[in-house]
Amino acid sequence: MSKILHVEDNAAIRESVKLVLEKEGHEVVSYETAAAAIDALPGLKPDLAILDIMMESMDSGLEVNEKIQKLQPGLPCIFLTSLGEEVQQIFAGRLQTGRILQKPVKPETLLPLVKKMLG
Amino acid sequence: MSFYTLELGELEGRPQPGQETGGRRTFPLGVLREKSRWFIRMRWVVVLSLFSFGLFSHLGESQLLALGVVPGKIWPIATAAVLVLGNVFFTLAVRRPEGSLSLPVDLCWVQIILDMACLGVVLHFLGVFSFAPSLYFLHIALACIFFDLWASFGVLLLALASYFICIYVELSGWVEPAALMLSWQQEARLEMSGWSIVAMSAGYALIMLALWYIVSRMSVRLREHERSVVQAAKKVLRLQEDRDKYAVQMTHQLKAPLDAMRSIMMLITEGYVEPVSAEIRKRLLEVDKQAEGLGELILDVLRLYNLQKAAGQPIEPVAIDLAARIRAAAVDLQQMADKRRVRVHLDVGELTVQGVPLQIDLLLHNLLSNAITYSYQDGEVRVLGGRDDATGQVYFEVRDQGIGIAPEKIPKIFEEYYHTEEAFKHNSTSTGIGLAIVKKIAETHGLRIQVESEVGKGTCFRVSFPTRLPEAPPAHDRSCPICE
Repeated sequence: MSKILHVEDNAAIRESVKLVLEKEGHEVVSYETAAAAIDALPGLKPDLAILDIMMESMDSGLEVNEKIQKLQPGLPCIFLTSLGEEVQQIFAGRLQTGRILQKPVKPETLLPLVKKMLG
Repeated sequence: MSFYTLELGELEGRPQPGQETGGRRTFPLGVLREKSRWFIRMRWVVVLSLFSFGLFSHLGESQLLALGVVPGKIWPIATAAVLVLGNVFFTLAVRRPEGSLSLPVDLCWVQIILDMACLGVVLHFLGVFSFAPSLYFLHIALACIFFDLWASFGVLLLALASYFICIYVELSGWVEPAALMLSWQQEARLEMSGWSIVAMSAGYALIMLALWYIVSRMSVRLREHERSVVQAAKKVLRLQEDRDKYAVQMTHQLKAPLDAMRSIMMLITEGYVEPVSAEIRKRLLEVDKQAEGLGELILDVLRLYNLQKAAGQPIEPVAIDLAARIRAAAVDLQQMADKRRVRVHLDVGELTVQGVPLQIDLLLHNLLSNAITYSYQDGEVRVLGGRDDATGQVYFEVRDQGIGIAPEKIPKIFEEYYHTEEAFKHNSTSTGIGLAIVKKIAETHGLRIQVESEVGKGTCFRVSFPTRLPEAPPAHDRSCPICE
């Protein structure tokens, strides 16, 4: 069973992603804020991270990812964004690793990607 | 309990408590340092001129005398030597790090005093009662341009002092009167009446005063205008940055609740919560469709804003594998095509074009999604690509067998928020911005777009790439080149 870290400030989206992934048998650890996720990181050891890019600040999700990569280099990461491909322009250079999915995320899009990234 | 005091920002144009509202303005140290360097460079020209005259006086004395010019064997070279020493000192001083006393200000004044002293010597040898006093005019004008009002008045006073000292030492007999031309020398030996001397010196003094007044006033006005232009430019840049940030944040704030709503509807319609009736599921899917359309509209508005902003900037094109991009767009839209039971066929050779990848992707996505959207069920969309034999230009075509567009409406389809009645009936969630985005991208890249359509039969969009990208308009640089 894989452990997935999920950081998302919107409760409805957090719940929907959690339900979809748990139905597939994954353990999902959710946090509402980037700060809470960063505090919990050292003891967590997730197999995959799913991060909302824009939370309390415009780039909170990217900050979480940068912290994660220092603790667990190479951890696969999926970024969720309400914006479209523009997010790549806005955050060019900081989104080199990881995959980007546009919200709302559908199970038929998310699940195959999660499976692929968990190897 | 925690305590916080809200800090207010400064309002533009309103003086803050403790801030000077008027009075003298001085230039920043960096500017004064640059002005010092400029004076040093100008002085080398004077040194060269004096040295050349002195040298020629030694080597070609007889030629000079034949021309009626009084040779200067010692004074030009001595004056040039003093200026050289001064320049060496000033050059070393200017290179000292910032903050050494008020060095740039002191340095400018030391240079001015030295210049006035040397100018006095030159004036004596050129002839106090000749054209020579006009040499002060250049120094006064330069002082008005480079210094503020009262500093330039100080330079005027120094110039007048230098001039009158020169007259005094000649008239009092401390030195013999001199002149550049032999004929002037003879005239100088003739006694000039006191009134003539007063009239001439007063005349020159008045001219210097008038020159200072006019040029300093013009310089003050010019500097005020320059400052207001710089402030306006900074303000524009700041507003632009704020607007960009606002656009992104507002898009996110508007779309996030929609995404949340759609996520909840997805949980219900996909069976992740308690089952619902088919009727409820159908209604929820209709709501989801409308929400999807609204979400696309919000993103399209941001895309159009970004394109309009980028229209004034030079683009950095890269080589793009057009066939790969077309295939990627088709894969992205496969689900949409499957839902509508539209078949998408691609027939694109290996083609490379120059452009901005994100914009080309957006253009392809919009044209292909339109073709799929406005096709009838079980219809077909074909994408062809190749190189035009006649022009050598790379092109691609997106051809559908859908609802088509009436001829008189074709020019309007590229307008923002425009869609035909037929299009709206076929797809009520259309944003009306897709082709406006296509048009903006086409303008940036110099693309040629041709539309062929027949109502009820289908539409073909043909996009041709230029052999060379268009020249970009002058760049609206985000840095402020005129701001210090």
